This record gives sequence, C-alpha cells and structure tokens, in this order.
Amino acid sequence: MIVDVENLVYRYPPPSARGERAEAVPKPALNGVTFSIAEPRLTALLGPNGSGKSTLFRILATLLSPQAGRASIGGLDLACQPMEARRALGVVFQESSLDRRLTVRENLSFAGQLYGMQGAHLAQRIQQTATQLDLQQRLDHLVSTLSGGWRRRAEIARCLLHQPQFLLLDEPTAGLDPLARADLWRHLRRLQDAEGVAVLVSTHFLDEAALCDWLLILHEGRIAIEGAPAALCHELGGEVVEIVSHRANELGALLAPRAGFHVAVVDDVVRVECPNGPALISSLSMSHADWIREMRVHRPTLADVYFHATGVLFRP
Amino acid sequence: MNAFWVPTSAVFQRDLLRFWRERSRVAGFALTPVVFWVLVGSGYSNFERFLPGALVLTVMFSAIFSAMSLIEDRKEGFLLSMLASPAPRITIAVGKIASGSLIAVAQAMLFLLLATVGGTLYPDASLAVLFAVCLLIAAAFTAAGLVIAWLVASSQGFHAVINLIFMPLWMLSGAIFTLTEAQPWLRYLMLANPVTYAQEAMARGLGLPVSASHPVGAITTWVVLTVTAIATLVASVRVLARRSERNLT
Repeated sequence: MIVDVENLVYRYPPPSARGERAEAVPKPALNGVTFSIAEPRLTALLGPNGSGKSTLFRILATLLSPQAGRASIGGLDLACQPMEARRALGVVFQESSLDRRLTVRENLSFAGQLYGMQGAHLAQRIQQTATQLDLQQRLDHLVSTLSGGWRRRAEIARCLLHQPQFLLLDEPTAGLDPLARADLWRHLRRLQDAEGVAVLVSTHFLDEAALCDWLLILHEGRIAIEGAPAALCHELGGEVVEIVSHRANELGALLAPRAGFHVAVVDDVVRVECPNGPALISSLSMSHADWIREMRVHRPTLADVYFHATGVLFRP
Repeated sequence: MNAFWVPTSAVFQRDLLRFWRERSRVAGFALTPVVFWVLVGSGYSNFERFLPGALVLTVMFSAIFSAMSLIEDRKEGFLLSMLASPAPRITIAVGKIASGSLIAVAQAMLFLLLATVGGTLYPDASLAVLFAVCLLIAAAFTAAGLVIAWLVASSQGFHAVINLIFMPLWMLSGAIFTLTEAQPWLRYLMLANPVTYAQEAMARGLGLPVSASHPVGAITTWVVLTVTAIATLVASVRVLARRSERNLT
C-alpha cells in the first residue's frame, strides 16, 4: 500500500481573537477521511475551497497531526515515523516554495541537501529531473525571472530529486494560464508513466480531475465518492435534464415518484437524472409547457457525479 | 552525521548567498564601519568611551536582524519545504545561527581592521579576544533573534519586539553611562543584563583601561557570555523544534 489513510479527523482550534465570529465548536476540517492508494497512478482530490483539501495535504506532508485516525505512506506511519515517511514523499505546496533569489540549480541543490544528498550523485539527479521536466535551459536562471509555469515545473523537479514513491501536489495549476496548465498536466502524466510514482493532485477544476486515473471527491471533510472518472460518469447512467422553471418545486414533486428518476431542486432549476432525457423533454414540453422556461439535456459529467454524491452543486 | 552536516551547511550557504545577492545588505555591511570611523572617529575626542558600545551594537543588531530571514522564508513559502523535509529542525537553527554569526563577526572584524589601518586601535588590544567576544555575542543574538522570529507573526512585530527588548538591554549595558554612574537599583538591573558583560569583555579586548569603576571580573564576564550564548542556542533549537501552526500559512 503506497498511501493508507484511515478515519482522519482534524478540527482547527476555535478563533480566539475578539471581533471574529467565534462559534463554540468550529466545524471539523476533516471528519473521518478514509482512502488508500495501492498502485502508482495519477489520483485527483477534487473539492471546492474549504472542503479540507489543504488540511488533508498538510497532514500527509507531516506538517499537522490529526486529532484522530491514522495515515501511512509506503507503510510508514506518519505519527510514529515522520522522518522516514518524509523520504518516501515529495510535496509541492500551493504557495511557491522556491527561493526566488536563487537559480533553479541552486534551489534544487539546496533541496537535495536537505535530503542528505551531495556531490556527484546530487549533480546527476539535478540533471535527470531537469531533463524530465524540460528544465535544462532554465537551470541557471534566477527563479524570480521565470514565469509561473516554469516555476511550477522547477518545484516538481525539486520534489523528485530524492525519488519519492509518492508525490503530493496541492493545486499545482493555481494561477497558471490555460496553456501552462495543459503543459503541466502533460508533464505530470509523463512523469507518472515513466517513473511509476504515485501522484495525488488536489484541484478544484473538474476538467483537470477528468484527466486522472482515479478520483477522490472530498466534501465536508469526508470522501464522498471515489472511482475512475469515466466509470463514475458511466455509473450514473442515462442522462441529466435540467429544467428552469418558476414552479420548480411543484415540477420536482411531480417528477420524483417516477421510476429510475433522481430529482433535485436547486433554486429555480429542477435537476433530473433519468434513463432517457430526450423523451422526458419532449413529454414535458407537451404536458407542462407553460411551467418551463428552459430545458437542457446532457450525458453525466463529473459535475453530475459530484452533485449526485454530495447533494450540492459543484462551485469551485 | 551526514544527515546533520549536509542540510546544516546547505542552510548556511543559502543564507550567505542570499546576503551576497542583495546589494543593499552588502552595502550596509561594508559601509557602516566606514561611516562610523569617518564621522565619529574623526569628529569626537572622547571616542574610546563609546567604542566598545558601538562594537557591541554593531554585532548585536547585525546578528539579530539576520534572523529575520526566517520571517522572509515563512512569508515566501520557502520554510514549508524545509519543514516537510527529513532534515531535522536543529539543522535549520544551526545553519542560520552560523550564517548570521559569520556576517556579524565579519562586520566587526572589518570595523577593527579599519581601526588598525587608521592607527586608532590601542596597543593593548587583542584581536583573538575581540574575535571570541564578537562570536559569542553574535551567536547569542542570532539565536535570540530566531526565537523571536519564530514566535512573531510579521517583520513589523519583529521590529517592535526587538526595540522593546534589545534597545533597553544595550542602553543599560554601560555603553551610554557606566555602572558607577547609575542609581543603585539600576545598577542591579545592569548587572543582571548579559549585554553589560559583552560591553565589559569588549572593553578589555580593546585594551581600554578597566578601572576600579568596573566591578566585574574577567572570569565572570566570560562565564556570563558563554552561558548566555549556550542558553539562547538551546532555546532556539527547542523553539524551532516545536510544531507551530503559524508557520504553515
């Protein structure tokens, strides 16, 4: 087992500063997170801001201790053997953790030395990781002169130096333009294929989540559902029809009892998961035309998977 | 042993490299002693009275402010990568104390070099003693600076705490008025102040006459300085080893 996480609970201490709205007991950031990664594949952790992604990452990065539950990386328990676990782990944080006044090579060299690497071995690893991420031409540039995409790649190179079994990336595409985002994903995929390293990427972009081999959806501090993205969409089956109506509640109540239907009303939209979308649309346009302002039908997407599993619309 | 020395020397080298890359820091480092000698040295006759205090101040503040690199590292996110690495926290502390001390001591030595070249250094001055004194002060105050940098939230907070704690320590060290000139209650405060001993040791190292008005013995001076340095080193290592949520944001 590369990563094994069992029933993690983490609750941030209540805000003590006066003026802040102090709830008696703050909601836990993580409330029983359980999952495992057995094979080296590309796994996405999808969740909107505030779903607990960063807290989970900090626990996996051994920077926070959970109040309950346990986690291990490469069989090493994070609570008992944090130092050994860190060697099996590479972390790319959401905030840049490169020294901007140093060159890429100096940054890599520093990082390698933190892992006890030195001399010819370190120089060789710097070359290798730089090649993997197409950074050779930028090795002697100051980080402050690099664009966001290059910096991200330099960070990933930094985390690969010590050849971890498990690479953890916290929203690595945050703040990147679409071109750099696509480029970064291409590199992640290539790395995962070539190195056989298990990668866990957190994201709040559905299109990025769809690129992964496995998807974990984090909602209110728990894993709401997991599976291969395509399979999850497929499992929902049929179609999703969205009906905009000024009598959404009544329409919802009308459709709910039908066999094979899964109906939810959000504001003025009735969302129906049903076996045959076009048939529903044509029958409704005959029977309830005056209730309906707009109707749409589509095959299930990850947004629908998210809604189905959590009961709320995905809002990054 | 490599697990300790390799990361420690990495932290040490990086801090020096950052220092060297920042022109304003290098300029401040090199020009402060020059300005001091040109202005004060040539324009004031009762100079030797303030010389030890000026040296102590130079070393003290150079050392303390080098610890601010910890706050910058935190702000820039760099600290996270160090905290998530298998390098023990003590290597961060030791590496930073070594680099901060080196810069502070080098500045003091530059100060003394200018004095030697200018012919202002006293015949009884001992460079070895001065070096040792500067090193102890530098190590103690870099370590103290690290403790404060670890605990405060911002560089503004750091400055506030430094002004609150370290300016009075320097002012009550005999740099401005001597022990015998102070009221008895203040004299006790001064005797409890480690910087007083730094000031004494510096005066002795400079070969200034240590009159009967200086009731602190040479051995006491060394013991206090050494104990202070060790205590702050231990404190900094222990404080940095604590998990602190502030350092995660």
